[in-house]
Amino acid sequence: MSNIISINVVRFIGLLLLQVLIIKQIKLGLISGGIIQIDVYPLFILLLPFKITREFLLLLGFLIGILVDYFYNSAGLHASATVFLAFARPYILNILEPSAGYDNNKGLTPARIKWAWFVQYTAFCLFLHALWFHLVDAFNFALLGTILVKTLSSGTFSLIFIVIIVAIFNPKD
Amino acid sequence: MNSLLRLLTRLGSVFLFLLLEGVCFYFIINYNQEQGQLFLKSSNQVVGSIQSRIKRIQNYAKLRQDNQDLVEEIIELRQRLGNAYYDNTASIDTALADSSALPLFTFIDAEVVNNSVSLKNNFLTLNKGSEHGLRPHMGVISNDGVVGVVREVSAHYSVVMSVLHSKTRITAEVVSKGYFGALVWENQDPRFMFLEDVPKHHFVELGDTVQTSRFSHIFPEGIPIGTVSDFSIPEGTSDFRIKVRLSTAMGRIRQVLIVNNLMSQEIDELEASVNE
Repeated sequence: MSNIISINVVRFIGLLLLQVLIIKQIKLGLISGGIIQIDVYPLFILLLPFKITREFLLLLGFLIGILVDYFYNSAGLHASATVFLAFARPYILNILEPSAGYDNNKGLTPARIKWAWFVQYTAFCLFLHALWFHLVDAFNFALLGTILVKTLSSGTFSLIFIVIIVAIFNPKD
Repeated sequence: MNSLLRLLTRLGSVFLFLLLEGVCFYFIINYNQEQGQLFLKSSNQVVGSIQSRIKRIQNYAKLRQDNQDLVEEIIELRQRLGNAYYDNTASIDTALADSSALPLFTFIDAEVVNNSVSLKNNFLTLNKGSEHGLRPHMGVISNDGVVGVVREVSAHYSVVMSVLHSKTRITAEVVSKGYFGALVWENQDPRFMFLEDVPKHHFVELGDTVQTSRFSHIFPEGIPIGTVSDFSIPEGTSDFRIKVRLSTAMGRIRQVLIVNNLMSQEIDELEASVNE
């Protein structure tokens, strides 16, 4: 039990630092202008244990989002998207439930379930996260087309980065 | 009652979701107009200092390029200065000569790759050589002042006789008082040189600026050398011995400019023809 907690604390700090120290420096430009927002910190939310309560999930989402916001000077933007992701996660897990169901004591990782399932799950979550992020970011002045382009590019690149990170560390829980 | 409680626990997460989103939107609406300032103020010191550290590391990585840009700009500016031109005006009777100034000095930048200040005869090695247009007897200056004179060049490197050399003799002037002397170094202290051959009837003051004189073909006029920090008249002589504090920290030079006098060949040939 305490093992799960310490794993997640380390993951929280590690992903936060990775996001604000390294990923933030990567500036991939869009053809249509602007820079692709790459987010790897949602991985923390994705890998939290299956049995975590929804309330706790939301609070953790808010916490990591607001910390990322501090570094991006974006005041509430990441927090909003991450809270939304945390809110949506149980429903996504419901939709994607494998035939064997989830094991309460095992992590939501490719090592425990399957790569195909994990990529699907991650993609689902990241595109929702990115869509919410860019909707809130645009608020009232951007067109829907721009939002979709940004969401697709940001979701795709975030997915690539997260898959690479998970492939490297290959966590069990 | 029981079912109401169950409903509340069921919807608890929805309420919490709406509450947290509310907080987020409060932040977004309140802070995003003036993003940086307001938010930074409220953000804690740790984040600020981490940010500035990252910035410093980034800046450090860019230093080399910045440095190169600055050097190019300095060269550009120096070549525009009055002392980098040969005044081509000559008034011939009634005819008005068109006033034109020919470039006299150009500059080549180089980095110091080897340097000494502790020997009796000190030399510097630069990373530019004959391929970049360097020739012996060219002057070498830094942004702070005179550094030395080129002695030997290879294709890509050159050796510069530092001003901290027992054979150094640079004609220098104290511009505010208008007297000249020969600048020498006596292998004691890399911070000081001595200005000699200044007749004792001149008026010397502490803090006077010493700079290159216009009689030098090697350096443009007015390159700083240092300031008068002490002076005396040794017994049995009639000349001042003026201690000059160098404006250049010779031990710390990284970046220098080589002075190319475009007319040095003409001067040399002319002066040599007289001696024949």
